[in-house]
Amino acid sequence: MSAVRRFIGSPEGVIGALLLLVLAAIALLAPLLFPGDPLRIAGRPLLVPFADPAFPLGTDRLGRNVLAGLVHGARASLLVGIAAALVAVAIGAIIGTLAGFAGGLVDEALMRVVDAFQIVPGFLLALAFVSVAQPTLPVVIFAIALGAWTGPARLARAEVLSIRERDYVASARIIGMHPLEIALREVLPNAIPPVLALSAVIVAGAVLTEAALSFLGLGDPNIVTWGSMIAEGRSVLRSAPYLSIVPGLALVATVIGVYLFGEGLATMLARRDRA
Amino acid sequence: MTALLHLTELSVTYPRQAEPALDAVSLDIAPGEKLAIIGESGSGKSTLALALAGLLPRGARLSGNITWPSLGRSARAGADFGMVFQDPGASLNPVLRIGEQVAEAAQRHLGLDWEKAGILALELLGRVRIPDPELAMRAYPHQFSGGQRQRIAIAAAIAARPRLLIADEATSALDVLVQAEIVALFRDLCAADGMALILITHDIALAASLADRIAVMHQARLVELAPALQLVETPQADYTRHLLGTHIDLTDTPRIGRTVP
Amino acid sequence: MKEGLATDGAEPLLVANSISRRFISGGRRVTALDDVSITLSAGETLGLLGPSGSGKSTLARVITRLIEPDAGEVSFAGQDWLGLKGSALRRQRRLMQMVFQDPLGAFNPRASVLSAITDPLRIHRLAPRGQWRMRANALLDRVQLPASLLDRGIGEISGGQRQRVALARALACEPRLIVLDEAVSALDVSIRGQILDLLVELQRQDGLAYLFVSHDLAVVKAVAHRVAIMDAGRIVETGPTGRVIAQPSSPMARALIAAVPRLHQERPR
Repeated sequence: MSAVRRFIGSPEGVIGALLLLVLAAIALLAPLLFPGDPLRIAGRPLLVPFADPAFPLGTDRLGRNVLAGLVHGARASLLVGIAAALVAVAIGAIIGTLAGFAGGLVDEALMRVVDAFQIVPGFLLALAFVSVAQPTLPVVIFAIALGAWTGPARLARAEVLSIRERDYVASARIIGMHPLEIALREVLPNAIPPVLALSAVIVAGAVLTEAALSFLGLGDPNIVTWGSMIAEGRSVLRSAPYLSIVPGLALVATVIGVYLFGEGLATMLARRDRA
Repeated sequence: MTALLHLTELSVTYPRQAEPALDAVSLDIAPGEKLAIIGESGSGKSTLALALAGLLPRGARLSGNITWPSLGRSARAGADFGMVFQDPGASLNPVLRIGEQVAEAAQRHLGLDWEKAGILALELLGRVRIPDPELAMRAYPHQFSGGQRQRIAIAAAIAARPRLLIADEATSALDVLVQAEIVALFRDLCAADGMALILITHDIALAASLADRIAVMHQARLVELAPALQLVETPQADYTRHLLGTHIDLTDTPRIGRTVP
Repeated sequence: MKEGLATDGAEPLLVANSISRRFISGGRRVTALDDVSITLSAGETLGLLGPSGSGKSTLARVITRLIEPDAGEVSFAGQDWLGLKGSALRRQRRLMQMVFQDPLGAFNPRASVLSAITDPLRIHRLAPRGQWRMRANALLDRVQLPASLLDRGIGEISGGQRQRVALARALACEPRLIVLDEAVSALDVSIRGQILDLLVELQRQDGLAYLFVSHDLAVVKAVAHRVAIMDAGRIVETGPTGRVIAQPSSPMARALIAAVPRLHQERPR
């Protein structure tokens, strides 16, 4: 209740949430707004925006409706972004918490694995994975998560290590609480919120990584994404720059929206800690 | 004599709070005076310090006046007044060498070049009785104990020779031995430089042992202001009497003696 | 130094013998406890005094089994306390409780007053679930808090109230010894006096023993029957509180006495 009020109290959070709401609505309503395949040829090629009311944002090289592509592309971008972040945060939180709790050799081993993943740039990792496997949606999601789980893992471990030393954990030991209960009731619930706050940044990164993969032609070829639209526009960048600019702006709006939402979330959690 | 600092009807209300955190407080501080502001948590004593230092959080409403008659202008933080807090870690940068931090204050406010500022920093560390100041100049904050960090924070706070030092619970995180040393340091610094001191504390005995005058805060208001000895010997306000009554002293009868079964 | 005070011939509740503990800090070995021994009888309060870094908190944490000593023995309530492991230790922990300095940090931020107090009842099966609220109310009453606080969150009550809840949580375990680690240092002065009075009253009712860790001699004097003065990991002086304050024999005891700020004193000008 008061957490919601605190969130509303932060202007970044509100702007971010509104942006995301609009995007989510567009993504959900895409089949209603533009029924049929957005990849089909709809009209004259290379129509500039605002020229034909039927194609407010114009058409591309093959005469496909840019607005329809944009709206359907929101689905792919948000789906891949959110799903990849969920997978990354879940893997990261589990590995990090395990390392923090177990300590000793288990901690050492797990953190070296984290190191190994972290020294390879996330994008290269995704690129390699998608090139080897088939570029279907689940593969793309998993490939992106592969390069993004190390951040949450490190954060979860650091939180667990710090909470383990708090007086309330000592207090739980003193009253004779079982170590498993200490882990699940005292430590974990307090270690998770900062990791969740990080997830917004991961969603933003995942949306960008997905666009970059599609741009390189490594996305799922059967769905329209903003990255593939930008790639499509590249060959006519001089004559029809709007083909790359319009999906590019959509990408920017999404990332900013997610980022602002994450800031609002972080402020909300920080204020709760202080209260 | 012209007052150093003059507060008129100073009130502060934090955002989304109905009651003011500081309610129409008026007082004067003379140059070189040691004034203690005492009260319990929530009494407004820390709000007063933050208001003086211009460190109130965003959105706090401030009314009334803070003037510096002896300056004839508004005061600049660091140059005209220095500040030390309960947690010295809060005012020291963990990744900068001690020498740089103390010299930086001198360099910024006195316009000294780095070499002169460095010489001054060395002298300041000696004045706050850091052992082996030459070595300390090159060390980092974490290499010192809590009490020594507080001395270093004091050295940085007085680097620009301010007219006033504001100490907000500066000794409450320290043990009694270190606290006594810091109190002695405050006393010496004030005597040597004619610097005024505002000591904010919850400890009435600490206030009485150091300050010339004591201001008692309770529920955002100033309830009594009197010379230290007079306040302790003949308190006027009920709340002051209450504070004195609850103070636990070495002269108290042990409580275990009171409740013999 | 060995503890030399006779305790009416009865077996003392706690005997810690030759406790040593070293830490590795920055590559250097730091001796936190060097051959430290204390005893404590039922119904008695021992004040453990010393400046920060003297080892008093380390000793408290060794005795409560939060950290393990390198050497030494502890016997508590007639058993080999350091020999207890696992579930046997968890069962016996009930008898020795601890109250911490920071009343906020000692509670899970998500806890409610009710859950904080009933955790021990659940863990040690001290009361059936149906009686938890009733028992919690009775415990709140013992620490002089109104029953209306029961459903509040820990973050929603004042520092003094939290410290009383911490005591209620300890009392719920039905302990024989409570280790108080600077338990009143973070409280406002008027509340400090009330908590000290409460501690004395609880001791009178239950015959509780207290190990009262503090750096403030005035507070220790108010509640402790005996004091042990620590300096650099050793106990340098021990004896009845009144005697140590009137005739301190160690430099550390004299320094601690001199450092207590006084209301009425000769003020250097």
